[in-house]
Amino acid sequence: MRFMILFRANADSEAGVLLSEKLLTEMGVFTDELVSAGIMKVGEGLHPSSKAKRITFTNHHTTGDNHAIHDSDQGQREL
Amino acid sequence: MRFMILIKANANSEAGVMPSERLMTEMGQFNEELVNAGIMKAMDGLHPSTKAKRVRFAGGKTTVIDGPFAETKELLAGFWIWDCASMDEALSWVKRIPSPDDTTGDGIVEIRQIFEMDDFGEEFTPELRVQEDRLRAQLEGNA
Repeated sequence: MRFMILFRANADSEAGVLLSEKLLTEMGVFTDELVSAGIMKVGEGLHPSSKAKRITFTNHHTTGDNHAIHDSDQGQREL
Repeated sequence: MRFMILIKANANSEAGVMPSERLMTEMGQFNEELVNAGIMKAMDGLHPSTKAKRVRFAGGKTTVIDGPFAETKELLAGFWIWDCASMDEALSWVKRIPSPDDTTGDGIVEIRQIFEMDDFGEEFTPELRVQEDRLRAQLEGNA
């Protein structure tokens, strides 16, 4: 069984505050353990939602035409 | 630049309704295009939040909450990871997604940029970068 572990955003991550050397070190040790245990598949971090886009699909789309799409740069609660 | 394309949950995905054969076929064709264009890195779909757990870290304590979770629009149903030249390129591909949901045609997709090592500052020391490189090489070897 594969699982996706989702880190939710907080005020710091959304403000673009980078991780301290201490936390990066602890995360490195933890990730090392996951890799050694053979359970690690992939791990990534995401830029704040200020750099993101949200696309809303609102039309029923079956044939490839009339695709109503709304782009929004407004972030709300994000991963 | 790598991007994570987040397909948000909706009532159907949370109810465990599986995509129709038609949608699976369209998605298969779309994925084939992504692979042929050389931008596809990863993709997966997630089980509904009925099977999920939420773990809250607060004040040195962890609390575990069992799914399902009420706020459907904030939940994730699946994702891609793409390697694109720019956000605009990623956006142009997202606009071509066949349909996030084949009964309503409605859906929300978000594009988030993934951190690369160079995005970190001095806190990400040379030693930590070496460790990161080693771990990623190990993971690729395991794949």
